[in-house]
Amino acid sequence: MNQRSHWWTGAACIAMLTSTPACVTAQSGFAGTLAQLERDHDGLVTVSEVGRSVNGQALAMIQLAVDGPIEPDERAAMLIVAGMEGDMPASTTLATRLVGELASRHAAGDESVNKLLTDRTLYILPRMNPDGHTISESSPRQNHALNLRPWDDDRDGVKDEDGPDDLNGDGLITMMRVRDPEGEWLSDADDPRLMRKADRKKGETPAYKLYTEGIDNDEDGEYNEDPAGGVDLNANFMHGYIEHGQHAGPHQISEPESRALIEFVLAHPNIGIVLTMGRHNNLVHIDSKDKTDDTGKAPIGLHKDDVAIYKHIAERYKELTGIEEAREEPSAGAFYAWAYAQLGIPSFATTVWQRPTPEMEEPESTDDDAEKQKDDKPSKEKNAKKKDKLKNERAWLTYSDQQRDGGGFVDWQPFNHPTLGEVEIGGFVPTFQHTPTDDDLAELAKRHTDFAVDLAGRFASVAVTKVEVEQLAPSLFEVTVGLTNDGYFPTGLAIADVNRRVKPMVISLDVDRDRVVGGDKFHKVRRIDGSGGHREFRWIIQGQPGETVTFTCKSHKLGDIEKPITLKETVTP
Amino acid sequence: MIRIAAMFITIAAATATGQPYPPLPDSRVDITFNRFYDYDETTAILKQFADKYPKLVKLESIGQSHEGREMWLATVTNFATGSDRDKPTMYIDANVHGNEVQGTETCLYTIWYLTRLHGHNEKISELLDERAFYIIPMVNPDGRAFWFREPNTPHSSRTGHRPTDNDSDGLKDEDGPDDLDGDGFITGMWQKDPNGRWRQSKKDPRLFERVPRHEKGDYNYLGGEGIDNDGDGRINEDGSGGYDMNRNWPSDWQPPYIQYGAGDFPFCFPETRCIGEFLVDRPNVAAIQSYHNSAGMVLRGPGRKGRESAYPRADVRVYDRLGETGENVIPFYRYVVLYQDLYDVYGGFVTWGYEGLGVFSFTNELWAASQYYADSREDWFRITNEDRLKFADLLEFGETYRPLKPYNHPTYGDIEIGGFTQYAFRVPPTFMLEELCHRNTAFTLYHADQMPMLKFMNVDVASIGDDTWEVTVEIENERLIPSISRRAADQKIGPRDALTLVGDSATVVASGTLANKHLASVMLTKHNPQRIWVDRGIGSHATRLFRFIVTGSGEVTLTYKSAKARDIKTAVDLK
Repeated sequence: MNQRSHWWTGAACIAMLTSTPACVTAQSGFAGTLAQLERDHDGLVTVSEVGRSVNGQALAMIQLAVDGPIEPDERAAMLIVAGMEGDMPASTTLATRLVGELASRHAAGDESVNKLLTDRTLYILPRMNPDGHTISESSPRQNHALNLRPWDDDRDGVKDEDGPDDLNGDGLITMMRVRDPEGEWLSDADDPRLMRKADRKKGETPAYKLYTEGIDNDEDGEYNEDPAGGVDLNANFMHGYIEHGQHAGPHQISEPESRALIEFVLAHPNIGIVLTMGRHNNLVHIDSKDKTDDTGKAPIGLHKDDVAIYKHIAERYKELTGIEEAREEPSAGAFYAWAYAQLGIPSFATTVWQRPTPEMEEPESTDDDAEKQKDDKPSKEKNAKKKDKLKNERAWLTYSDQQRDGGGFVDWQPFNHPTLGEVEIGGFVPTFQHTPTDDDLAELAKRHTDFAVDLAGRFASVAVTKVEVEQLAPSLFEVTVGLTNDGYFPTGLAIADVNRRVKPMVISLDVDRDRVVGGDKFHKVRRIDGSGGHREFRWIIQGQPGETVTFTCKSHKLGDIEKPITLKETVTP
Repeated sequence: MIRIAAMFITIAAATATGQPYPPLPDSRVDITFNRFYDYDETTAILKQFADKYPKLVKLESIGQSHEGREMWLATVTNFATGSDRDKPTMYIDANVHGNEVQGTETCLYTIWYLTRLHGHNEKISELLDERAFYIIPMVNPDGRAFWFREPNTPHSSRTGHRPTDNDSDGLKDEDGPDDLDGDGFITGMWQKDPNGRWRQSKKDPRLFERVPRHEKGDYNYLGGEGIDNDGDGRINEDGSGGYDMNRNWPSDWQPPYIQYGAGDFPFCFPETRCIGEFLVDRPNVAAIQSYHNSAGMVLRGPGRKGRESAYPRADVRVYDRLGETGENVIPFYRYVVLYQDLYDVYGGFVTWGYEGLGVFSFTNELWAASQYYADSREDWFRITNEDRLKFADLLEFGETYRPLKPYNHPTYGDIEIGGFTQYAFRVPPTFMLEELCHRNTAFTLYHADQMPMLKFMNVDVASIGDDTWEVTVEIENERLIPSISRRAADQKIGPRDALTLVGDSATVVASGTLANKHLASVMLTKHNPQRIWVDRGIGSHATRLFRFIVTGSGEVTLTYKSAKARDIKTAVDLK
């Protein structure tokens, strides 16, 4: 930890730029929340800066650990990353509340939490994309998933020159619909607030074009085609990275935010579990397809021998968080996918929440269409997707109406647009679908904390459970040492056998090489299964009766074990 | 070849004034090309070029290596005719592998040649007036320093020198080779053994050959010189560094378990990172050349079969023209595709240049053993060690070979140490270095000469009504390389080209691209007709036609902008 500069100096500078100079002591917003956590839980919560965003905002890493016999950076650790997507500030709130929740449970004397925070370390990066959050949350609010790397989306030689504009001044960037014979969209018959693509083959005539709210700032005929930024930080990592993908960045780890995170991870080989909070959910959608990519060597999803572990944890996850559904999002370039596939450690991704199911009637119109299309598979899938999208939007709208006082949707209102003429502005409120209510968040924080505690209780835990010494000759001894893993996870997943990225445990006796008559001087061991997995190691060494030799097992992930062994006389000369 | 020939005719014409050949000035930098220069010497030479040719050479460091050496970049152009940023620029580098040294001398030669002949030779003057060069002679300066300073094998050491744990024992760089006999080289360790799998070569007893199956040999090969420094039962398994910076580039990068030496992520090394950031920020780079050794190859991607689709046919035709010229300019070198004729490479620089940046990019493997004997066109891999040793005897007076000498090894006991030195396989004999430098420079300058060069062929103004004009513009690319490669167009890399028409008292009412001079079909520009976007640029030796419908009068200015060509501008009157 000593290499990290103090986090709040940077945060305070940014705060000074955006608010009043008096904020150096009275930090507000996110920086203030972290400062408060650190003050309230002195000795448990430590915050440090691990990097800066494109716009220079601090990336704050929280360390949760109680003083113990082993330094926090030497203990097996779990890393939680949130706020990678700029349009999901709720994930940051959730991760921050999770820290508060753990700290409170610790203060209240919760035994399992105390043991966890003494034996293990938690690192939490709650807000990886502060610039994206700033854009999404300040007025006008908008969905801004990306970071703020300037980017020439429309390849006209100018960067970020045509973003959305809040034309009606309601503080929200929503949509514009314009009556246009070249349009593709219809207002849905069941709920005319919703827009869907028309199907001319069914005799539907489209009426509208849809745009994001804004004007053609650069007068090139396109609307809002080159907004601020950016790169999707959660698509900027190596596994499955899409070269020249739309928001993938100029290359892998091209962004200061992704680079800060990967350098932190590489500098902390003690990290043995990763949990991300954002748009992916690999516990609802377990990728068990058992396929390799086009190199023929890299598994695309999970290694087949790791699937059972993920399934087991998924059950517990659903039970503890109550989350059973999530949108399936592509994992190309995602951080969690890299941590599993290339770092070789258990890595999980959770969505922040699941929309409470509203009470709604199924509109009748749709089911028989699928029947008719059944011979035409691609178009059937496409239609199904279209239908899902509409169904999903309908559910969001019903939820907004029933449980959020209609606060999730802005009704279409006429507006006189400078170049498009008569338009209507309206649509879903930005970030609404990613933002639970405050009450929901409180409950979600508790549930995710339960899950995090459960996960962090599953580290491999290896101990010496057997030592046998047999004297074979006056100065020749056979030494057998057994190691048992009483944790849940194996010391290395099946993927780690493939990618060789987790360093093996190095097992040896501290005797000179020429005294080792049988057995390897060093045993390198990648895998001892969890739930009582056992491995034994045997040496024949030269030594004197009564002499003590030391058995060592060194591991980056689990710490080191030392055990003195006395070469006892067992044969009478 | 025609252009190269034309270049020599130009020189010949200049000499036709009765003076002895050639009346060309000496360089202001005193340098010979019959020896190699280590990091410090190369640094000093680069500084001299910048000092002595301040109008043509700027030297800066774009970063530091892991051990803190400078990443020297020489920008070479005639700064009086415009900044490098406004000119199509060729990027040249060398020595990403520490032991592949002679590309650095080739870079120095290129700077030497360009600066010496600018103002005296028409083609060279054009190359510096209209184009620019970014030259990084030492991509891996720590590796270069290590090669000159430390004992090496004939094939070591490729790596950079960030300490790395190659044997997964938690220790870094703890068991490298050792120069046991103190002769400055890591040669081989051999041991007599009645059951050995090797024997002395029948052709030359100083060399060994494997014995065929079912025959008995009398020697065993124990590897390169060294001891088991870390006591793990293996010798030389974790030397200094231990990775490959030419597997650390972003295109088709794969993790180390798929591609040895790739590093943890693209640009994780300070050396590759500063070059990566430099190139991403330089859309004016329109040609790329990297120097390696050895085997006599002019290489292009793809690095594996599965990536063929990244190379559209239009670009392959350009590549072939360039590469085939390379074969002519550099005898003994073959123009080949990386994965087809060498081996699979993930994350190589030559592939990133093309697949990632959309720029035609080559890697030359400098020096082929077939060059030992000038009458031989045999492939380099047919040259035997006996051939090498004969050559070493006759032309290098034995310098590249160390005879076997007895040695008492701590683990093996009585052994013999000796063999070829690090000068034997991958670098040319120094008396052949200058030709290597010149021929590779000539090919690279040919490539640079083929960067796009645009001009207005015709601008026709026709009246089509009262104050209404049809302005037809024909633009030609006089060179082989298109202003936007098909790869760049397909993958949307970099800005598009654009043609604009602007006049004080003129309004563009419509515009578009013409498929054909004689048929009136015009692909109309959708919005803002005074600017026509040209998504695919101007092709290889191609012309393109554009038309503006303009109302008004007076002078109008036409400007064609392209990231990889100099902007061109012309004015016409509407009359």
